Amino acid sequence: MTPLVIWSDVWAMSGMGFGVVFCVLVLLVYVLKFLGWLVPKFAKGEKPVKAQKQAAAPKAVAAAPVSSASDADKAAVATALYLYFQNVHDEESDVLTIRSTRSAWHHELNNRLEGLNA
Amino acid sequence: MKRLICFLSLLMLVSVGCFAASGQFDFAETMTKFFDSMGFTQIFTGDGWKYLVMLVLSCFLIYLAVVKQYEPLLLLPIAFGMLLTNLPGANMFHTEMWNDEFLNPDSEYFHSYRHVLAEGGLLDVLYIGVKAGVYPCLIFIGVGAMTDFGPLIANPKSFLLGAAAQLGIFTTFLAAHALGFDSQEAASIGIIGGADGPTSIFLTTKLAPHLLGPIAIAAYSYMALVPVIQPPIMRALTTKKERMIKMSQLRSVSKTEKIIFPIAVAIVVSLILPDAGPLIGCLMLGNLMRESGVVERLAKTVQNELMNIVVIFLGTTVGATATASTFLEPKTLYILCMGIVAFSFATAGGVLFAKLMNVFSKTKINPLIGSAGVSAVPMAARVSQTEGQKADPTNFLLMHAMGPNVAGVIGSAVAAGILLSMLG
Repeated sequence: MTPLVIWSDVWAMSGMGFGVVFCVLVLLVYVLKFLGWLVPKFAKGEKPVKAQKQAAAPKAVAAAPVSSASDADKAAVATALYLYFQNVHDEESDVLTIRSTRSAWHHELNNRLEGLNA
Repeated sequence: MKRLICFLSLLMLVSVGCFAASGQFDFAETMTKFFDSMGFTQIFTGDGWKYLVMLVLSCFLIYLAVVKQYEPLLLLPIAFGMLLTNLPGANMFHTEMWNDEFLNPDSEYFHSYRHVLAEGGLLDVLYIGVKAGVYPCLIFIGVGAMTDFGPLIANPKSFLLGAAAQLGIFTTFLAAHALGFDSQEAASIGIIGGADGPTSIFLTTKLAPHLLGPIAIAAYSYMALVPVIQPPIMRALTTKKERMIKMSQLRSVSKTEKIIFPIAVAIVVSLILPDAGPLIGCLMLGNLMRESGVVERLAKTVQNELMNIVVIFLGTTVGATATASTFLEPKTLYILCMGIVAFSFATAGGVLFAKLMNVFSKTKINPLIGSAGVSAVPMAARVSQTEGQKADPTNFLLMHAMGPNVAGVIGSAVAAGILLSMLG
């Protein structure tokens, strides 16, 4: 450990370091905003998701009354559905043995043991 | 069986007697050497008790990882690496080889990996990956491949919260100076506030490698304690009304935006801060693999196999640096205390800045998401969600908190780059 600390330098380094982090991330905010503005203009095949859904909606669906659920309710329903489908998996039987079939290869002893597995 | 054992014992005794009688074998001397080389003997002579303390400490960390499940994926290998390196006589890791020879410009083995490969133990050889800064970057590829930057792209202002949460790094940098650490050491301690293990290891390896063990242990331990450290600070700095603020749903983000994002961030950040290039570059490479959708096999590999292998090597070797001589010092205690300071200031910085943004912004944001600006993905975001739901059970903040959370990863890597460029 060094007993001598030049505090003015330490404060300057801290301030400069924090300032640069802020400036870089603020710059990234503008880069992202620019991308958000630029991409929809040049991505011809890629329309905003909301607009696409409305265009593809069948007449019967479009005529149906719009749900009055709030965004939070919709998020809760989506989360519940997601969790439900995560838990859905194949049901398997608990039988661990394979049902034996008769063939020319069957030994006399196997024929006797067959009753145990059946 | 008993007869065979009796016969073999007799054969051994006769052969030992024959060698001893012929004068080619000094039985007493050999046995003395054998007992002297035993780890047990070394533990009970001189400063050997330190090994015992370290073994107990590593067993305690293994307990925390296995029973309490504190970041077990990293804490378990770290703790076991600590155990291996403190087995006297096993010579798996040589601190002096790295500190006195590899890092000493006057030594003939200065920066000589060849010497390490020729003379080092198992953990010395694996440690080359840490020393060369390879493991943290490889882990960042995996982190990038597992991270969805969608919430951040949808709400770019989240970057500001990620930046504000880096306050912890710089306040701890100041506080560590006050405790008598030099600038390199203070920067390495401060980066604990970034709540990002690989970044902490990357920076500490470059600036203060002798503190790597305590800093890595502090970083990962406190990351596991985020749900304990953050909530009281979040509640203290916000009113119930603020905690109940509901935020509007995030816009959907197109695939093109998600693909351009990693490329743009890698270029912008690396051009401004070349020292942050390795970390940010690897993070964004992993993310591009994920979002492009054309290299699914590679994306899966970096998320699973590569990540797991590197975690084993990184954890074990970082743990190995916590030898008795370097760990059992007052500095370690200071570092552990500074770790809490770093996390607390980082949390406070994020929450307070979110409140400040509310003063100037039309659309209100819930200040609880500010605390997620301390990386610790996704635990810090989960804490925001939990605290938000305590105030209002119908409030869903998770996706909003993921924005500052992933911005914190980029912010801490940028902070590491700045500290490296100033002090490296």
